[in-house]
Amino acid sequence: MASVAIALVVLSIVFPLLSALVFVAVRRSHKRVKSLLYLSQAIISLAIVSALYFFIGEGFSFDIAMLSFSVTPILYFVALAIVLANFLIMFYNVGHGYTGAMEYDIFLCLLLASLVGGVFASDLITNYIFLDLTLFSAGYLIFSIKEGVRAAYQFTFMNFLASIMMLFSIILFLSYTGSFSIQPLGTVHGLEKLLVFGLLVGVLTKVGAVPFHLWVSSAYSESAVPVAAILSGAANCVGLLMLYKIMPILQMGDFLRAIGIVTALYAAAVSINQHTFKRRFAYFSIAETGFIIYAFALGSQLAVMGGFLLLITQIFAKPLLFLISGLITEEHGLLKRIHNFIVFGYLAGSFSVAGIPVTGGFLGKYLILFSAYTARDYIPLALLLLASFFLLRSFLIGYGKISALKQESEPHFATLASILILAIIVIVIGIIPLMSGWIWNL
Amino acid sequence: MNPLYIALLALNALIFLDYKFYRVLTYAVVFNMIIAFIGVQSEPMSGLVLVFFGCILFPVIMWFAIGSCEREERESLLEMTVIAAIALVAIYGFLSMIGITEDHALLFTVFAFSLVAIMTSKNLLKYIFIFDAAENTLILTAYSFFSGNMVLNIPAVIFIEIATFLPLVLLTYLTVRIYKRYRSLNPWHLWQSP
Repeated sequence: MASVAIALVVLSIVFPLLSALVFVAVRRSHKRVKSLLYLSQAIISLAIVSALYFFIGEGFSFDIAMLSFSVTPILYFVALAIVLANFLIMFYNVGHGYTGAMEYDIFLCLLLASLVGGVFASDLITNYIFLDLTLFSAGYLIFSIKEGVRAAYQFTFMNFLASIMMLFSIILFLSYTGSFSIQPLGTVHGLEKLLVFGLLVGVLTKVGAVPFHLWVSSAYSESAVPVAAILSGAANCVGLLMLYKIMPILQMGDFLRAIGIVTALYAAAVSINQHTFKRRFAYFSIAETGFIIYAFALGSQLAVMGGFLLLITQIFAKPLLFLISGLITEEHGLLKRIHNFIVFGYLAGSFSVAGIPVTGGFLGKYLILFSAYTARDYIPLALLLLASFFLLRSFLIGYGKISALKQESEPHFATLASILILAIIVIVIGIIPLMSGWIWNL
Repeated sequence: MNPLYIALLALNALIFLDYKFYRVLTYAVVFNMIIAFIGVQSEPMSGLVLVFFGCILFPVIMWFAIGSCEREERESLLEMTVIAAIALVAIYGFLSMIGITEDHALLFTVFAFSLVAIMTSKNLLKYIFIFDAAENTLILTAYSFFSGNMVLNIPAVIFIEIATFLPLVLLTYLTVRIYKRYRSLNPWHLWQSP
């Protein structure tokens, strides 16, 4: 059983890489053939990760070629959410704007492999390697639109600088502990402070927390819609997971809580004044990151549960919003016939971000704020509520704009289906815990 | 004090200060060769990995990158000399003060100096040379901490090299594209609103 489980984990990382080779082989084929392969790859990846469900049990760890992986039920669900969101984004892309460019397909495969690897990575160096591969593939994908060269450079430069800082810290960590396994350092003084500082700056830059968020708005708003959708949801989630994993090393709960609050408050406030939907959604994304950082830094079981719930919800909610932004040409508007679909999707995504019932975002934020209340963290609680209010205000401004848009062209069935499914998932994540009743017994 | 480490520091300063890019490339190659030489002494196979990436792949890529962009840096580098001198003394003093051994202090000085160079450099091509120096120094530091330690074995070195080298290649490619689009390698243009 264990060997099958290990084989499935390895396959979930290796399969997208092998698919990349297939895209090289069929580079001269018709666009329709490529789109079929493109979807098949996403479906098979989803099937592989789904099959893993029957083998995880209480979880397991293993090493392969010096890379260490750990599969726990919660990490499994995060990985499942990533491959499912990836499939829906691919499905959308086939209906809307798929060019059939070989590089684009290859780098998407590489990105998926590095994201799944990043979720299951357990030690510092494995996390570092997969985060760097994510940086490489995402950086190129941002550049898949020629106008995105500036955003791609900003993204690659800042994240590469962050990677160098992390590598510095990892090597120092190795010198102290003699291994890459994540473990507390004990008393922090002298060089250990540099170690913690490097790791902290590195991972906060990768998740786009304030004040290291300079690359976020341009990377999300100037890249292709599917790329922005994957980056804001899944790629951001892998960075946040690394932050959660290295918490025992950082031991800077108070500082990280402050970072989380400042990030949520700043991004929520700035999102109000954004003139394009993509930039508005980019700041939504940063604000969500702030909430999750706060939850992980608070560290109570309830807060971490809320953080993970928000993390899984954002894997669907943020792509949902970005995919909708792809259907809106702000000068011309969108088609009236599908207007209700778009509004439904926008409401589901924005309700989740603003923390309005009944969405996964509401439940996650409710758990986080409830944890802050029980921890007597009243000032942060008030500030996070203020951030939620700003997000609500921003959502209402966006809703006003979306309602005023006119019709243009008819989107493909796949495009609409993806948006509808993503919206339903965002709502279902919020409803299931309410229906099962455990939330009322907290 | 290891003279090779002092040579690394001097080459890093030259990479930062010279304005002719092909000359900078020469310094970078010599820098990588010294790193690889020290690496080979600690662990021959891992050293060869460094030779492949640092002394073969990197120069080839940078040769084409320089050929596609400018051959010389436009901005005056005189004031940079002062910055470089102050940064080197300050960093070395700080690292010695917090109590690391002399050789490691030199290696970390190379790394920290690279970060200062990135903050103050006004040229995108320079960034790539400095990033390369920084990452190779880090890998060498890992070697010097762990020569003969099985934690940092051949697959580990290969994975780390690939993971750090691929973003560097992407950064080089994007630098060339940026130059073709904006006809400038000044980083400040990049951070202004479009």
